[in-house]
Amino acid sequence: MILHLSKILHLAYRNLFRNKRRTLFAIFIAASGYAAMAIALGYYGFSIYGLQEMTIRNGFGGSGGTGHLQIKDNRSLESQEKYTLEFGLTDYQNMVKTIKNQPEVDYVLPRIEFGGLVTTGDKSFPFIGYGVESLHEAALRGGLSDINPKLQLGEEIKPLENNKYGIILGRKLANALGVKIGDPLMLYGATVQGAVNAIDVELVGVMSTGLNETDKYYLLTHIDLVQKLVNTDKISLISVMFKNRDSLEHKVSKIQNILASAKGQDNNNKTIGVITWETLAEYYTAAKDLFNMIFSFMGIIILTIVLLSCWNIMNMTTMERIREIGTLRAIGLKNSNITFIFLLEAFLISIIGLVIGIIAQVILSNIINALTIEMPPVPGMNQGYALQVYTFSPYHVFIAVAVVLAITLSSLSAFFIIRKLTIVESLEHA
Amino acid sequence: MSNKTIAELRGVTKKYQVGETEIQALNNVNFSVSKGDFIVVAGPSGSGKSTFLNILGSIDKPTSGTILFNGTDITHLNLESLHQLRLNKIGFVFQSFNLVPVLTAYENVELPLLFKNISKKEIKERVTTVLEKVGLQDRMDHLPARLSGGQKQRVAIARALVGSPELIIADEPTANLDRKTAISIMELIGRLNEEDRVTIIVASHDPYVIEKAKAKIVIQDGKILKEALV
Repeated sequence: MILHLSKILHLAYRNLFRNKRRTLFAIFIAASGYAAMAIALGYYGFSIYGLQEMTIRNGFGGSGGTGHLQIKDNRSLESQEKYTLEFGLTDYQNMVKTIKNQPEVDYVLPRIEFGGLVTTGDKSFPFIGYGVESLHEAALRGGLSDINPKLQLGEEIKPLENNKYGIILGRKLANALGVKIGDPLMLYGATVQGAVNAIDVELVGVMSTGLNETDKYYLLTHIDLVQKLVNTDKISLISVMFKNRDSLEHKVSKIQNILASAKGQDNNNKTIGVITWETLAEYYTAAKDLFNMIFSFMGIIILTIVLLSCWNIMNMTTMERIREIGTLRAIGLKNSNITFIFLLEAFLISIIGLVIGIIAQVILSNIINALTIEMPPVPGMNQGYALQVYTFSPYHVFIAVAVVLAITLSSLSAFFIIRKLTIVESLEHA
Repeated sequence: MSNKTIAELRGVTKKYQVGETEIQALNNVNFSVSKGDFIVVAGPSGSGKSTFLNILGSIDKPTSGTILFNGTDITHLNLESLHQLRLNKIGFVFQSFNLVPVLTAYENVELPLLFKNISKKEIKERVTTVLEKVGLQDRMDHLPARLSGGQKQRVAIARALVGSPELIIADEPTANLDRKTAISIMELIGRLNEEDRVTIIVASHDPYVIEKAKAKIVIQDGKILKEALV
């Protein structure tokens, strides 16, 4: 069977000019439908990527980012420590050195999680503290400003570099203590042997963790200072950051192999495991699920509006051409032939609309990005972020296909109308 | 030698239901048309002429009775077979021309061929030939809006002819035309019948059309009153 597609396509194209206003309206629906969904997807893409990077680089609540993976004692995932650093990593320096030597690794960050009391002499408050290697930690957190210019992170950690006895407090904790930068303080903590130890420190910084509640208990200091306080050379975990996220699974298995060979030599490290950032990122997973639901719901609504609007337009177009349809059927065209012409018309509308929609989306996305509109903080957080949208992601192709399909399928309304009418009824149609 | 019978109606009755009233458009009609015939169907408005042509042209189904085309019973053919029959065997000419307004004269004539298994080259040859035959070789690229009523009807005739049908059915083809144009259209139809032995059935009140035909039937109240040579 010879299909004269170009001729039929030409007929479909000419039909677009019968009622120009209606065709323009249909094209506008296609364009605005695509642009709306694509911009929403761009925002979703940025939000998810931002959330991922936030989780990896900075974390939520000041504990530091998860990195791309963490090396820690598996037992710490299942049970609480009876005393400080019960499940800590020993001889971590060699582990850090070996992993740092891998070319794909950017940062290797040992950390200690600990607790205790901070006091001015007059006032004492409990804290949840983190001991870090401040320079690398600051650089890692500062990486977020490449993604979102409104998030100036990392800078607040840097004062720790100049004072080995310096601490940084959460804003609300500092307010509660009534201290200012430069004031002397004392930290009380339990040693790994179970005794109480104290150490004199100096307040070098006050920061917000992003979470109001955490700011009441937050303390950040040097890993060396913490080890001195709790009287150990152990650490809680090692966070590893690669230069990029490409082939993450491969990189993770490489680190696992390195650790496996280390374990073979050291009985103390038998329970050490590698945990990927996604396993650790409970907040990210919950937020992503919520985002998925919101954006899917929004996408379905926009797509339904596009489909119904175009269905209505194609209905009107078909009703106007009932008599002509009767003629075409009388001269031997099948219902499917005529429906095919309508399908092609709708397809052309969707393609033209899509092209305009893509142009509109790219322009609007760039305008939004250039404006760096500040978004309010998400609930529970106290830092806003700049509104950014991605202009392209692989999912944009999916949206384009969905818009083309929805509009093309809307022309099936013609098929249902044609099928209901006899040829004589069509020819007698006014 | 008798001519081959192309289409035949046997005891065809057509009833319509309009609200609670039943209208009998055709009442036990028997009729046949043979190769080369040029028959005019006359009768007052509402007599059943159009219903008669619709059923003969297979675009409407009778309530009872049988329709034969080339000796084959087509009364109960499925939609697909009826589409094929109309595409290959029957041409229609309508009172209001019924051209596709966005297509040129050439494209209108070409349209039914696009859905047949015919090469581009053959389509071009056929379309050009029929348009020349109806005298529109200079108007091929014109849209219907730029053609006169007579020219539009010529395009419609060319469209009906292009598939080389065995039967052409024309429902009041001159009703929307002025006298002079109507005469030229009937001359064209007459010439096609004379020279190419195209079988034609025309419904009309027009005395000139009736005069031009070789035979006439009169339908009144759904019955064929008389069948006679003009």
